[in-house]
Amino acid sequence: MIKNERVVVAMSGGVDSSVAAYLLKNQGYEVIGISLKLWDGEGLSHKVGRTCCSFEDIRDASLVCSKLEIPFYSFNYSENFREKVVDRFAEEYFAGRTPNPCVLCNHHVKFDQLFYEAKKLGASYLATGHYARIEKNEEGNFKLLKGIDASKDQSYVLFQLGQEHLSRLLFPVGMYTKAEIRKIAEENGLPTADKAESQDICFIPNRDHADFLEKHFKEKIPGIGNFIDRSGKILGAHKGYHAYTVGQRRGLGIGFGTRTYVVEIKPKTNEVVLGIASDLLSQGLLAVDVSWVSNLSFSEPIHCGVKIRYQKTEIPAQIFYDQKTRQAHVNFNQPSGAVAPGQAVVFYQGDQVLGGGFITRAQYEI
Amino acid sequence: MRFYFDYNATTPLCEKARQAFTQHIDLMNPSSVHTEGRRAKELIEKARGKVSGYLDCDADQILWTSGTTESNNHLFTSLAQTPNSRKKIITTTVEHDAVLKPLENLEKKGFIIKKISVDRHGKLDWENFHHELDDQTLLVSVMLANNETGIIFPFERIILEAHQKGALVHTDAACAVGKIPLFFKKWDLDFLSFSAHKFYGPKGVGGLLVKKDLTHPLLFGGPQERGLRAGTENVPGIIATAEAIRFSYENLEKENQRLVTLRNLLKNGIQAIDFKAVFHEAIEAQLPGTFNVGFSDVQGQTLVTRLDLEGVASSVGSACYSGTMQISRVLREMGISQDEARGSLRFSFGRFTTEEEVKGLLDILRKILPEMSP
Repeated sequence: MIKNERVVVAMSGGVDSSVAAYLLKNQGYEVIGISLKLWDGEGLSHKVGRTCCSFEDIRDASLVCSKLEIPFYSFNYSENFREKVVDRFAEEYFAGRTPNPCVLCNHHVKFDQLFYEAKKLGASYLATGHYARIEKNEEGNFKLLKGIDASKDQSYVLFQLGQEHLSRLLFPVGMYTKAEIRKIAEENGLPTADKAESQDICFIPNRDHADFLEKHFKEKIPGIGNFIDRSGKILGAHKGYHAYTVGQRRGLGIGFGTRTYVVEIKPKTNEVVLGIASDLLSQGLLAVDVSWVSNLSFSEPIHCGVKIRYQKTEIPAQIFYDQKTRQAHVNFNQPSGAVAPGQAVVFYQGDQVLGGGFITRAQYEI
Repeated sequence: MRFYFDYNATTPLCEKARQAFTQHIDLMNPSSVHTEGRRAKELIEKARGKVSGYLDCDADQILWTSGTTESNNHLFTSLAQTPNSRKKIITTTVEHDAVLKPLENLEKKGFIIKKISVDRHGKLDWENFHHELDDQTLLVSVMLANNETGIIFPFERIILEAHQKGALVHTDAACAVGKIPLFFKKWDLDFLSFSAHKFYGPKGVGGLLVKKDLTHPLLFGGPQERGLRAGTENVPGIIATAEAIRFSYENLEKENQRLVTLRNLLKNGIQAIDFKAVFHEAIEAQLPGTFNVGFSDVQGQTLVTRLDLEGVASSVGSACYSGTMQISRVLREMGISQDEARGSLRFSFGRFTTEEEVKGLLDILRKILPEMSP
C-alpha cells in the first residue's frame, strides 16, 4: 500500500513518537523523522531525570529512524525556545502565576516550527506522538478528541490547535493505549521500546523551578518576603514569592498545626497568602486568550467539563464567552480547589476538546 | 543518484589510500622487536618521510596523532605546562572549535586569549592584531583556510610579524592541506595540525608538525612517537595518509583551475535563479572548492534537509554533537546578520566532483528554491 504522501513525524526520542513513525510507515506514507532541539542550557549537564531534547533523545530518535529506514533530521530552535518559552515561563512566575511550559512551547514554538519544516520539506501532513485523536465530521469540520487511553490523554496541551492545524495533523498513537504502544515498539524492535517516560519540564530536569529561576534570572529574584493569612496577618518569612505555586502544601517550611496551602500569590508586595483547604475553593475562574478548536457556534452558556490543570480530573461547569474580549467566565457547578493563574483551562464535551484559555484569576463569588 | 557536496566535512577516500589501508590492516605492532614488528615500523617511518615531502618539513618534525583536534589539544596543553613568562595567545574569532575550546580551557589556567576579528570578506583586523601582538605573546594560532568559507589567511605576513615579537606560530591547516601548497620550513612555521580525512585519506589519523620543541605528552603510557604520543600507532591509517597526500597534491594547480571553473558554474547558475542569494567569499585568496551561499527567506537548515531528500549532501555551519544544525558562528563573527547567516549553507567539492554533478545540483536548486519561498 503506497500512499505516496509525505508526512513529517516530530520525534522526541521517546517510545510514542517512535511508534507513530512506525505506524505511518506501515500505512504506506513516505515518512521523514525530525527533532527540534529546543534547549541546550546547562540543564543538560546535571543529568537528573529525563529531559526532552538531550543528546540521548536526539540520538534515540535517529536510531529509530535508521531502524525504520527513513530519513531523520534535527533542527535547532533553541533561540526561539529561550525567548518564547523559557523567558515567558520566568515572566509568568515573576508575575505570581503558574505557567505550563509545555502549553507555551506547543503554542509558541513547536507546532509553528514543525508546520514550517513540514511545509518546506514538501510534506502533506505533520504527525506527533500525542495521545489524542482527530476526527473529520460530515461538514468537513475537524474535531479534536481525547486519546483512547484516558490515563495518557494529552489533549489538554493541544487545546490551541485550530481547524487549519488539525486538517494537516495526524496523531497515530491516539487510537492505542500506552501498553499497546509499548508492545508494538517491542515487537518491532524499536530501540526506544523500554525507554522511561519523560515527566519533567525539559529545561528543569531536577524539578526545582525556584532553583532554575534563581540561576538564570538572578536579577529578578524578589528576595525574602512574608507569608500572610487571608486577613493580612504576618505568619512568617518565605524565600521569595517566585518559589511558590497556588495549591502548594509541601516545602513551605512553616507549620501551623493544620494542613496549610498557598492560596494566593501577591507579587507586588512579595506576599504569599496561606490558608486551609477550603480557602482554595472557588466558584469559578476568568480565562483570557480563549480559543476554540472549531468555528461552530455554541448556544450559551456552554455546559461542559473543564480541566484546570494537566493532571486533574474534569469538573462540570458553565462557560460564558465574550467574543469581543476573547475572555470567558467559567462557573463551576460545585466549588472547586486550586485554581492557579497562568495554567490553561480546557473545555471538554465528552471526548471532544471544545477549546480553552489561560486562567487569570479565580472567582470566589459569583 | 546522490551528489556529494560536503568535502569539507570529509573527503571521499581515494583509491590509493583505500588500497594502502586495506592491504596493511593486519600489520603487527610497530613497537615489537620481531620481524613483523619491524616491518610495520618501517612502513610508518616511510609514510612519515613521504608526507614530509609534501609539507616541506623534516620527517622527524611530524608527530602522528588521531587528527587535528588532538594535535591542537596536544600543542596547547604542552605549551601550558612549559614554564614561560609569556601568557598571551592570539587567535581569531573564526577558528574551528578544535582551537577555540582548548584555548578557552587555557584561559581558565591563567592565559590571556585574544581573538582577532575579521570583516565580512574574512579579512583580518590587522590594526587590532598589531595592537595585541607584543612581547608578552607566547603563541599566534590562526587557521590557514577557513572551513566554512574557504577564505585563506595571508600566512607569511602573520608569521613574519609574530616572529618579530618573539611569538611562536601555529596553524590549524585541516582545511588547507591537500588544497594549497604548504611550506612549513620555508614559511618558518612553528606548529601545524592536519587530518588525513580532509585530503582523501582515512578518518582517525593526522599529525602535528613541530619545528623544534614539544615538551609534554598529551597521552602517557608508551614510548611511541619518541614518548610524546603513547598508544599503538594507527598503522594502516598512517600508511594510507601518505598515499592520500600524494593523491591530493598531484597536478594541484590544474585541479584548482578545474575547481574554479566548477565554482563559477555553480555561482553563475545560482545567480540565474530568481532567488536572492549572497556569496560569502574572499576578495583575495579563497579555496575554490568551498562555496558558501546565503539565501534570503529560507532557513539553511531546512534547505540542507530538503537537499538531502533530493539527493544532495551539503551542510550548514558545522554540525554539533547530535547532528543538530547550528547557525554559523563563523558567518556571525564576520558581521553577517543573524537572518542572513540563518539562510546560509556550504557546498564543498573536490577531486571527484564533475561538471555533471554541479549541473545536477543546479537543476535541483532550480526546482526546490521556488517551492520553498514563503
